[in-house]
Amino acid sequence: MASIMLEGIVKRFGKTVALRGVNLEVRDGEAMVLLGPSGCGKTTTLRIVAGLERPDEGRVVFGGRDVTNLPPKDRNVAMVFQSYALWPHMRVFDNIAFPLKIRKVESSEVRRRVRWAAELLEIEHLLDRYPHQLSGGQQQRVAVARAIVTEPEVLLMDEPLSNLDAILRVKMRSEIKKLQRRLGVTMVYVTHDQVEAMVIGDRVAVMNYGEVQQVGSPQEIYNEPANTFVATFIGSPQMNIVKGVISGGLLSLLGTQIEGVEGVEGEVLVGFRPERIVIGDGDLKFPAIVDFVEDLGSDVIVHLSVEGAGELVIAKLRGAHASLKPGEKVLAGVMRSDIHIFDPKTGRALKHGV
Amino acid sequence: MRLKHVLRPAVIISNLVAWLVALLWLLPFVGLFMTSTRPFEEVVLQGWWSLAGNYTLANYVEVLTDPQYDLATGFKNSFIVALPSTLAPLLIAALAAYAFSRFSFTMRNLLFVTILVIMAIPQQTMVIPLFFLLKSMGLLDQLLGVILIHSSWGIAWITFFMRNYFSMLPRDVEEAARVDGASYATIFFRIILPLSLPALAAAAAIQFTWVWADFFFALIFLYSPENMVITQKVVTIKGQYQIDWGLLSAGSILAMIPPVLVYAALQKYYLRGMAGWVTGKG
Repeated sequence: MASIMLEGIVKRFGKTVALRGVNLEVRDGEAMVLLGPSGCGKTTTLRIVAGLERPDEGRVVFGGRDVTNLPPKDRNVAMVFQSYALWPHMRVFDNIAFPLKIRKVESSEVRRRVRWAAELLEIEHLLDRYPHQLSGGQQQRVAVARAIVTEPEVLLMDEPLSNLDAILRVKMRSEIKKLQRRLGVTMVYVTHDQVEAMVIGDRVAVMNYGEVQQVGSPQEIYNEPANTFVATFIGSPQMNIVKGVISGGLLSLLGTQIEGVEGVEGEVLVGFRPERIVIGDGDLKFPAIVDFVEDLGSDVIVHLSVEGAGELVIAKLRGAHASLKPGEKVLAGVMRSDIHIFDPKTGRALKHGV
Repeated sequence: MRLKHVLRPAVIISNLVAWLVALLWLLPFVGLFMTSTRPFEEVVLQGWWSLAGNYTLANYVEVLTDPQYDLATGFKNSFIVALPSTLAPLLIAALAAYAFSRFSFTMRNLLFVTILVIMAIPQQTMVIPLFFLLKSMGLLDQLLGVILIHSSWGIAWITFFMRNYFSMLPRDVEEAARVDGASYATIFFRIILPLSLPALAAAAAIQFTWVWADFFFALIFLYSPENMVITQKVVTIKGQYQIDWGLLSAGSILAMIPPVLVYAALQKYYLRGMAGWVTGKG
């Protein structure tokens, strides 16, 4: 097993800069998820870890060993591709056995290891089939079996679940998590699905514009977003961000005020999550008019327009509030601890909880 | 609904045109076949288009057994030329095409354009320099000389053809192998070539037929009777003062059989090679 260090990775494709100095440490045996919108550089980062791309600048270090210029075969990595990348002309057995045969493993050992991997993924009965005779979920299991059969130090996954249907995706993501725990393998997992990221990642690296925006446990990312990008990218519906001014410890926003906000002065952006809004309670209360109600059964998404301030706020309330009607006046509130303050120029977080 | 669709005038007309073209295309072969199965007198007096008359295999028997025609040597030589002239360029061109489609190297585009230009050159313009080249190599009137020329000619178009096919293959099936530790040679022979079987089969069928049917190069570079290929031997059936059309047709039909068999054997792959890569189909 190995830890992974990425130090100042820069990658350009022609004139486009895909990665502008990525620094990331993945601990030994940790599941690290790279999360971000498409084009943020997460897949490029993964491919650099795999050795499929070479960085223009920076170093890749596996457990103290500099592997920046080593080809994939000298890195002891394995990878699961989004398309599964099974070889259609080989049976499932041969697909899984291929990496072992490349390493010149003895044939009785090959059979034993293939069987071990196939049993772990519950595909022993499919070994004689060809990939096109399998369902998408089964193909996915074969791809994972092929990746773990060599017991690699580092397991890389590039959006492995995005081609599965919703139900299977939920089932597989917890299976992948269990498998990673059981094997104790260091894993880097790329996804654009934040729920998947939260479930699978011991830690999550949120990426955008070719940079790591924040690294942290799912709780840290959710509770203490480092900037407005992370704040709005994580959580659904996304965090409300409204303009505010702090002067002498007095924060004014949404036509109301709250005292005792220390350490920050001037214009700020104020964020609070829709699910943290309560009706008729909270340290900060503001009157609003119901614009629109989306009833999701368990929850209700309520669009509120704040009188005077010209701001729109989304609230995620318990299903009990489904009786709210457009045009109705409510008093919405937020707790002090749920309020985030961001720098309006850089977007950087200044304070979590006021 | 469906019947209506089938009977639409546009559909009827396009079908009629297609059948008409197909029949026109087939007509010379029908004529050839009819002629080859009729006795000499009937061919000369009635022509092939009359259905009445005697049918016989005598022409086939004669053309195969009479030693003055010596088709057997022609067949043997044609196989000696066509097999290596198909397999060698296929392997070389596949390797070249893979390099063109996957690696970047100096002057890659210039080299590729050169290949395209070579494909556009008419063979006739090259024949005199080639003649002197073979002469200086001592390969004139040698099967090896013709094999080399056909192979070189084949490498150009097969490289072009295979590169286009390789570019359609999904990259991640190769990258998966690379991550698993396979060398480029392993990837090429164990992943790329098996996946490219349809295209290789299509190229093989076309190249084989092309080489087999060649008359021009053979005529110029091979002149001893024992070195002649089948297309030349068929021509010798035609006497200097008299043409036995029946014999000549029988010889021609026999000469056609090998390429037709190659097409038939590779047809399954051939169609898929032309249609391209379909994800997930093995």
